[in-house]
Amino acid sequence: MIELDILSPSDVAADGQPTFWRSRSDLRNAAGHQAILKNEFHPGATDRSELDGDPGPSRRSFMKIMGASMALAGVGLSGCRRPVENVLPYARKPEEIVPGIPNFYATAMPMGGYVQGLLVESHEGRPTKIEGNPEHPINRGATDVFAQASILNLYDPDRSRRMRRREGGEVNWNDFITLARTLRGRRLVVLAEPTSSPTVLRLRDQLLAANPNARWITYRGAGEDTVSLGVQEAAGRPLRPLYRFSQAQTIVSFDADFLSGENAVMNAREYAESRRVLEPTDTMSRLYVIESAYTPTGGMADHRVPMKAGSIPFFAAAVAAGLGVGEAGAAGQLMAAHPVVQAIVEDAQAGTTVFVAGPTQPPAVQALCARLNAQVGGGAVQYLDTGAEAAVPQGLALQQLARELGTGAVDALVMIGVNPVYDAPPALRFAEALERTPLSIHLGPHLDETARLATWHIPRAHYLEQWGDGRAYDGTYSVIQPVIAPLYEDAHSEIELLSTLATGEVTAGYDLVRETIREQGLLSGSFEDAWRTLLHNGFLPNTQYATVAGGAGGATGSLARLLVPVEGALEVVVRPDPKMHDGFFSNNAWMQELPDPVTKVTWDAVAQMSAATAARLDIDTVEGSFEGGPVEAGNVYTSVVAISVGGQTVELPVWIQPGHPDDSVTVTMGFGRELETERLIEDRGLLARLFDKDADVYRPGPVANGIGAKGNAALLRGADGSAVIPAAEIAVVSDGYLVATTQDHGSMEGRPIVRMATLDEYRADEDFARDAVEPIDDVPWQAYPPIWGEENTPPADPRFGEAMYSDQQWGMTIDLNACSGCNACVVACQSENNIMVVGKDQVSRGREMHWLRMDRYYVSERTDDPFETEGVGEFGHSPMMVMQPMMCQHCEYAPCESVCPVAATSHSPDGLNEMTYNRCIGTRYCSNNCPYKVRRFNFYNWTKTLPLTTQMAMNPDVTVRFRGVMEKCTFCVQRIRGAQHVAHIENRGMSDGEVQTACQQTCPTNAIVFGDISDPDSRVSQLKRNSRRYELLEELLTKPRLSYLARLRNPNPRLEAPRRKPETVQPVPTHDLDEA
Amino acid sequence: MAQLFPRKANTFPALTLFGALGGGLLLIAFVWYYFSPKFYEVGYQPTQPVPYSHALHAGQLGMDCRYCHSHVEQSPYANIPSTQTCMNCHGQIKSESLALLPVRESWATGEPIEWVQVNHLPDYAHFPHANHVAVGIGCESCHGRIDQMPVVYQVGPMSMGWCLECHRNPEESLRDPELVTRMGYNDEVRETDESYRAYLAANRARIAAEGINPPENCSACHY
Repeated sequence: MIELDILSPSDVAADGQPTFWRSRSDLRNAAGHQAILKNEFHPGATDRSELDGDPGPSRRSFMKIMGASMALAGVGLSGCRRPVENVLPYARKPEEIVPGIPNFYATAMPMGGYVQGLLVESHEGRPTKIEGNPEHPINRGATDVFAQASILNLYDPDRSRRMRRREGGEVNWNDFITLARTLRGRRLVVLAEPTSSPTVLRLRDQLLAANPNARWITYRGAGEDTVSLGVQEAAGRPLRPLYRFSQAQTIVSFDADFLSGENAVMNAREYAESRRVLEPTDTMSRLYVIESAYTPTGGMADHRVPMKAGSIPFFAAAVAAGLGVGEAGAAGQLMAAHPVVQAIVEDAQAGTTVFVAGPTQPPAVQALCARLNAQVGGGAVQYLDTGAEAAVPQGLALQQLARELGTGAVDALVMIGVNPVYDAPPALRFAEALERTPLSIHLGPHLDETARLATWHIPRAHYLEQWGDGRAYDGTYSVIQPVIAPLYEDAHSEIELLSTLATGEVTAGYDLVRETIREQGLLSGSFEDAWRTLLHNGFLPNTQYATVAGGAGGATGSLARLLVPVEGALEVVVRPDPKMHDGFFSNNAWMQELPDPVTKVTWDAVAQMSAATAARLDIDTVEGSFEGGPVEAGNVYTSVVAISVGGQTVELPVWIQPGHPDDSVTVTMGFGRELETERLIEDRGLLARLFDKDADVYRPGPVANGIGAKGNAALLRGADGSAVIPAAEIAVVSDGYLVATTQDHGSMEGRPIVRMATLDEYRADEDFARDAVEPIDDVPWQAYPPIWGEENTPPADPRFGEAMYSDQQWGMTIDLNACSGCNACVVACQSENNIMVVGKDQVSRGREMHWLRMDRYYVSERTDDPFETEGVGEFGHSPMMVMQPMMCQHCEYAPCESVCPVAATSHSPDGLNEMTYNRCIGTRYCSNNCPYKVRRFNFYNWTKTLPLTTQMAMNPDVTVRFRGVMEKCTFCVQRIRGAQHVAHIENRGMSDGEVQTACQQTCPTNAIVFGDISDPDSRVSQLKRNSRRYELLEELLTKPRLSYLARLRNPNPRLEAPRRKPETVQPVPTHDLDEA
Repeated sequence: MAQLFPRKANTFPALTLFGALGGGLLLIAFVWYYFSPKFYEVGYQPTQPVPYSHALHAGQLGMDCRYCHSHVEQSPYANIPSTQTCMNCHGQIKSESLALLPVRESWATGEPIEWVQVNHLPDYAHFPHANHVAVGIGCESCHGRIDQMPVVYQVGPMSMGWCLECHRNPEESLRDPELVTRMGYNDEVRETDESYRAYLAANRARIAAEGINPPENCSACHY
């Protein structure tokens, strides 16, 4: 057996060499951190006696009660009756449904004013999984994390179920129709979410034509749409930028998180294309990111400059001036000396360069980028004519509306999919204005903050329950078709509501959508035939918006009005949360439990700041206490600060974020929600609670409630809704707040888990990834007898020969150069494999159940001073970031298999490391013996008390696991077996790509490739022959089926002194090869 | 002083020992037999909401299994027929029968008939009917002589060992896929030793030619 020493990053890297670290405590090898490294289960994870506060029964008390009850049960054998199970066939079977075979329907998900093209898997009429539509020009089979999680919004047990009137009394849709008829000619304002739906826009026009006193205001909860305003400023009319990063040689982002923000799926794919390197001769783009928070896009950057959001415009001005666009101004001239400015200018002059500015940047910077793109973009940025009316800053429109509501100048306010009481700037006093409005109608999915104050609330149908339409980011017309009837009878879609408002009549959503298509002449030929084709495909090809020739370059906005940030002032930047967005996903348990892509925080809102800023605020950051607080068995205890802006205060725990600019604080929206639920939460009996902890997160009420309780970041926004607040007051309120973060979970002790090199290093030494590990006794790892060699042919091993029932041998590669850590795969895995949500308390004990986790490593050059290594300061360097999806490696010599006393985990003839739940007795030996820490154990029965609606989200092809059972990634064995069954019935072989795992299917960058490694022509086999390929901990000779392709960087040689080769990063391990 | 224990009490320890041993063995035998699916699963014969007779339909009338279990060749599940399937005939035949009242009720209301499941597999075991039908495993091999059952009962123990018996010796159960629904075929081929030997030989040849290799690994069924 080979044993490796326990290492920490400080042991591994010599001075001046790159060091990979998971957290600040990891970097400093803090007290308590060793315990996480050494143990598979965190101290306290296995028995509560080690750590108090777990509300569940301890193992000992459980055994006592269990023993007694077994004895009682034995007397009567009352439990030994066979349960009667019923089979309920259809009375009239729908033609297209075959029980047991899922159907896939094409539909689209609207969000943020455009739609994504999706395929929805439906089991006997019950949608269970969202996938990207492979034929859709934007999605091409992939989705973002929001689309993956949106299926749980459908089954949210806290959705509002009934129509409701503030003064009480039962109301139904007929009452609403009567009400709508009384609104003819009244002063009506519709406050609606941004939409691209031609039907909504048609009904809007119809409503405005029928009622001249009506007005329509578009409201984005996530904040001002500065991108549209800025492009409009540059071009003189509203245009939408479409980035073709694959054509770019240089990409510059001014605080734009384009890999996880708007149109993330296409952006990520295009970006990954520009970085796809399979041969040393391939080229890759260079990414500069200047940003005010650490985002996944910043993590992909070759050069990242942390900078206050308020300073970035001047940086942009300096770059523009260097390229001969506009004036740098006084502040810009100071920036001009920045080496990165000069590097960008140089690169931009050399080749196609794309400039992207994010929503935190004022319209002037957006306009500047449009000008720059026109000059050096080389056509890589297309500007699309969306046909929208000129945009008005929504801050102004909202201010006016709030004034009018307060003075009674509005008779009725209709709110569609918006929650202004929660996220409108507090200076508008929207709640008070709303209460004074005689009639307000709210259409939304929850009894949320606005719904409770509105005089009418109508439950909103989920997009999987309604007819509708919309345009994708590039304009492709897509149809939303329902996959299930509304779960609640009262639920209605926005087009049904609008149509009733406009006409006073009821028209079905189906007819409304068809009417739009007819009116706009979108379909040619026989309407019914074309309509059916449209429903089948989900979209109409060639309906993209027209591209404006010559780009948007025109007038350059003036930066003169922008204020230079005051030296030392604490800036606050409010961003949409990468998981909650603007709060739309707050009650989604998958999203709450999903670790943030960068901080890895779950179930909490945090205020991110740099270590220097924290020190300035007297938040203890001395050696021995980290992440703002002491680390104890993997938990982080931190201070809570009060952030005050203009009389509004929010309280948030501090998160010290390496690479965050100083004097700036990042807060995210979507927390501090207060939802009301109509769900009946039954009290469980004392006995039930003794046997089984209240394990399910839905029990205390809506999941969103109480998460970041006083942390509604939207309260900090100014009256104009701006996301950047130049100066805020921050004071420490309390200490010792527990933040559940997974950043140290599953750490592998600083071994060369992630391998990276610069493009130049790769060209010089193609095999750098392979050479990263020292050989044992001068024998390279590759020389050890493989089960699966380079030639990828099945071995002539009698153990395999006879038992082989399929010709396939499954394997996977993950390209770290493409993965941006967007988390879509993590949620896709959760949805596909019925992975349970465990809640904050359990996550802090290291009991989260994610089969696929996204490990995030910081990379920096090691110096003597940990603070310097960590990278602090505006002009100081920032640590780099690498994302690594981690799941079961499906080892050929799997250490888990050899220690299972009951053979519950074993090897399949097609190379899977199979986990048989019904055999597992929960010894957890396998988990303790897994070097990759990828096995997850069910400490409680998470499913027993789940609300019925949430149970409907389960995939019927995957066993729901019980308490006391180990589980892990199966390579989506249900999909493999399903495809094999079909191939078997059809009496044919299988083709490459026929089986796609859930993570692979949804990956926007195609980083994950799965297939048959015994087929030398399969994509996975080809990638396995790539020189960047390596396996994790290959020195243990476990021979994983999962290979990674090492990360590459393309730094500007001007900015980076050539480093020594990243080799010999670890001492020779102690070992004993006799048994290997 | 008199002896407290008579002399024959000396045998007590030995008797106790053997008694305990024998009792233990009996207990093991009891559990072995009575706690096994062979005992408590086989023969399960619940009362159905409609007194549907397979003996009449499949036996006397000779209807093919797939007329009602229509998706057995495509789907992992051999579907229970929808009410519509019943009404195809019973709209005209016996259209006023009292026994068929639940069927007509279901047809009128759209509410499903609540049949009681007879052959039950646990949720962690996935059994694809279609693949077994495609390769030529007769219905009767698992479900018995359905054509002779007025009320259906469970024939096989549906335990994993029982599944594996066949997976290890597929030549004993294979038949021409055209004949999967033929009842009594298993008895026909076993009529004489000679016919059975010929049957086995033919199957072995087919297994070799088509590479039939029923899986025996865990994740073939458990996932």
